[in-house]
Amino acid sequence: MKLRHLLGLVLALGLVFSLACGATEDEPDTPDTPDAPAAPAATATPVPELTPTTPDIVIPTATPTPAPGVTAVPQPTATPTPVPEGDQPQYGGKLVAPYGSGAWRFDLNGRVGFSWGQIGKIGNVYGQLIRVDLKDRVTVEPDLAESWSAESATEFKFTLREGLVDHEGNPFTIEDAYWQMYRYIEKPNGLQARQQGCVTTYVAPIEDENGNVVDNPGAEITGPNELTVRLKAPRGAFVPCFSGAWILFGPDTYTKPIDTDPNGGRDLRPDEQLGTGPFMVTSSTIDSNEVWERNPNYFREGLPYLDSVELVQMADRTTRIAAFRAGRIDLTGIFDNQPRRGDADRLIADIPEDFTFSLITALGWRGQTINVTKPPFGPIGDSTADTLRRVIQMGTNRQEINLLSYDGVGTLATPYFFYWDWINTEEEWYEKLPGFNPDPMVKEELIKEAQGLMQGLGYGPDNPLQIDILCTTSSKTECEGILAHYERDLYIKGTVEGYVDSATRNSRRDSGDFTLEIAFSNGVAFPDPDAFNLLPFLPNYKGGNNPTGWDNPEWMSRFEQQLVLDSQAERGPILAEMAQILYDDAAMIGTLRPSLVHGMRTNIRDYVPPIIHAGNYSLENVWLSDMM
Amino acid sequence: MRKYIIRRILLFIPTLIGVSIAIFIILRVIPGDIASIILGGPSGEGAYSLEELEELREQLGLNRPIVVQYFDWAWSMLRGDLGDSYLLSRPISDELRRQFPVTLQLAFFTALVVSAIAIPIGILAAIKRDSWLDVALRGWAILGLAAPTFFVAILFILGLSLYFRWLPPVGFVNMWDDPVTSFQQLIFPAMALGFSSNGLLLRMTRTQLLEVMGEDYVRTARAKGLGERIVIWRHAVRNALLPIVTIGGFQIGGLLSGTIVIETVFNIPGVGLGLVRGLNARDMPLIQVYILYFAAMALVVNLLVDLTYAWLDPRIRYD
Repeated sequence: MKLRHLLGLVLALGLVFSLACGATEDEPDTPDTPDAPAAPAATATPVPELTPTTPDIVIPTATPTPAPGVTAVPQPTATPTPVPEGDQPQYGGKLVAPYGSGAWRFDLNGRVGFSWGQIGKIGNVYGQLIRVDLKDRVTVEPDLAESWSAESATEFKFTLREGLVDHEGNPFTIEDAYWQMYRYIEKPNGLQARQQGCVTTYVAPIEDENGNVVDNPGAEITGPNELTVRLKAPRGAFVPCFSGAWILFGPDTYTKPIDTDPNGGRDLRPDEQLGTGPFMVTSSTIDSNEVWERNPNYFREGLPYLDSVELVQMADRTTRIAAFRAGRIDLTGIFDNQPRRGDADRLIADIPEDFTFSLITALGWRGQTINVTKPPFGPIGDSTADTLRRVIQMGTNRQEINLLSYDGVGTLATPYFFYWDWINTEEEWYEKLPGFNPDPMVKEELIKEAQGLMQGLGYGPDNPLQIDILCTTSSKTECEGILAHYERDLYIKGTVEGYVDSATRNSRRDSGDFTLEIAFSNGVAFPDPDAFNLLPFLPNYKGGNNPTGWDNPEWMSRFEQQLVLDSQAERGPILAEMAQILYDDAAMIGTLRPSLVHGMRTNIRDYVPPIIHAGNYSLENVWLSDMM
Repeated sequence: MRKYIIRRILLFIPTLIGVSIAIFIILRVIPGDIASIILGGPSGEGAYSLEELEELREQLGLNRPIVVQYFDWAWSMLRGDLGDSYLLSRPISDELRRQFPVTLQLAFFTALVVSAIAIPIGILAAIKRDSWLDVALRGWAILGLAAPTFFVAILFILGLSLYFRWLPPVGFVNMWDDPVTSFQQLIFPAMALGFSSNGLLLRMTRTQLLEVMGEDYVRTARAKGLGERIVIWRHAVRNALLPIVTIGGFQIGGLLSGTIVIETVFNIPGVGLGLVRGLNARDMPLIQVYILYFAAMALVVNLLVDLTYAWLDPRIRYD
């Protein structure tokens, strides 16, 4: 090859790469915009002082103390991104965040189930009547309602703010708020409300079976700007649930025509996402991206600070980390597929000036689902089956799973959040539910005890109990670790016929075609409905989240009993008893959930990630600093 | 010729029917339930009861006999109604209309990259036969054949981000809206997608050219004093092109299916990404249509390859 040919080739390749890599490199967003309104001082709160007619409800905060042997259990406290001295809030800029799927698929209470992409809309595009404070993440405060009051144990009045307008500039009225309540309660045209359990379960109906409004309906407009909500019975959990992140309100501009269409309903289209929140959806491209821009009519004066937020579809975790390094995204994952702790540590090591992260407690149940409908683990009451389940409950080494699968930052997935010390202290929890105790000495003793029980049933290292295990491909590492642990310590030899995808897993789980399932996330299957504003659906006692049909009337009666109690002092002991029943029956062996790593750029200010995932992800207070 | 084309197009029909039956049966044999995904979400976190699950299955018509389901679907297809996606609650035709141009852009880019790189390099390797350059290029070709597309794609992403702190801009734009950004977004996926095709085409070009260069007419051309460039380009390359076009044509068919992986890794909202989403969700109506689409594409590409033969070699007649 002649030299000029070689030179030509090199130049051509150089041209291609320069065009590809740098020709139109995006200009960095300038936080300061000349036309931006004057920013309030860092210490001033831009939210007008609001005084609800009832005192703020403060949900018990957790104050965990690290247990012996637990290397790094995340603290469930709200930690805002640090603001260096002298750094003042600034207007402008754009945040780019990745999401896995479904940001474009949204309805306030649509026919679709659960999508991580939808969670991003909570607090950003839509509002709530009352919500949890974005800074302390525990106090309930007014949102679209300027005040609210409890008239009785079953009647709540919400007074809407004056002058609210939606993203199209039309007034947001009490009729809009009423229609959304009507949708939640009556579910017209085949609507669902799967994430709004406290409304659908607690609130009284509006109409009878003939479509006539009943006396004392569940929702009623009782004043020019007043919505009254009536419960079927006193429910201590109502206000915390109602301020939970899924109870959203939006105008009825698009929803009402769909709900009343005689030809049947449908979900909202991307261009019909109309809310009153700090950001409005300005473009939405399926499978690609969605852009939210600042709502100039947002009722909280001076907010939001950001000009826009762009959600880009990026399902793969590795790609997200690469995109963060390359400066294409500003958050490594706000809703789903956050990086693992190890990835975050590597980013800190590589680009310390540009990356920071918070750990978010992923509250809920995750672990082994045991099929109690057939041997060897069922039925409940059979002494051999009961013993085998007990072996797994006491012998499973959660801390080993934590280190193996979650880089040591997993959160114990107990029937109730362990650090709810208003129920029990940590020591008391461990005493009552010893299988969760991460202390290596305690665990060693428990494993010995479990081995003794297995030997009593005729099993041993050379004669293990043979079972088939259901595992998903995404949990392969976790499954392999647990299988090795069970064979070594508990004399249980599991065989995985084939690692399956989640659709196959669901199918086999729902049809009972499994013996033991590892690492299945059942969501918040057994939450305390009066705490932490969890996904506000109730325990799905018999159904998809309880695939084995585990049924204990004792548990259910206590569950019903505590629902109507307002006092935590009264509820605590009952919840503790429920936890004990669940632990003893051992139909579902809680292990750990991965804590979520909220990675972000170091110039992001005043973002307080929700204490748990699926909380309110509002970015209205967030601003970008030019100080890195 | 016309008869040949009509005959080939008519043959499409039984092939597509066969594909449709096969995919219909396969989708119903494999485990996994769209209803549970709609209710529980892709991560399975959503709550639902078995009653709700059964109700949705009934609503989607999943409880009907499989034969009834097939004929219902086939009849809709014949009427031009591709149906609605279970997961998206939207017409599949809308999805295809949105995604197809995206995939076509990627395939076009890839074909350009492959043609621009593999054929000249293959010719170069043949001309420099057994030199260090030839050995290096052949090694590169084998690497291309051996490396899976997804692996190459991830290497591209990691390499670009780790060493250059650069990745293509996010949020896909069409070529006709913003050519430069589109080029930035598509060049690396195209290179990753074309990597294995490059290897095959390079080796094919080299082999064919070497074979042709041993022919009498090439020797004659040289003997009558033609310059080497004219001998190679006018006499050898043109005659070597026929099998290269065949392979290249099949590669285009492969490229379209290869986009399934590449679009997922690079987040390109084309048919491939749509199919993966559909597969994960067991969105049967969507998967059926998309598989048929890929089958139809393969058939069309094969037909075009056959027709290109006649254009390249006027001696070929199909009648």
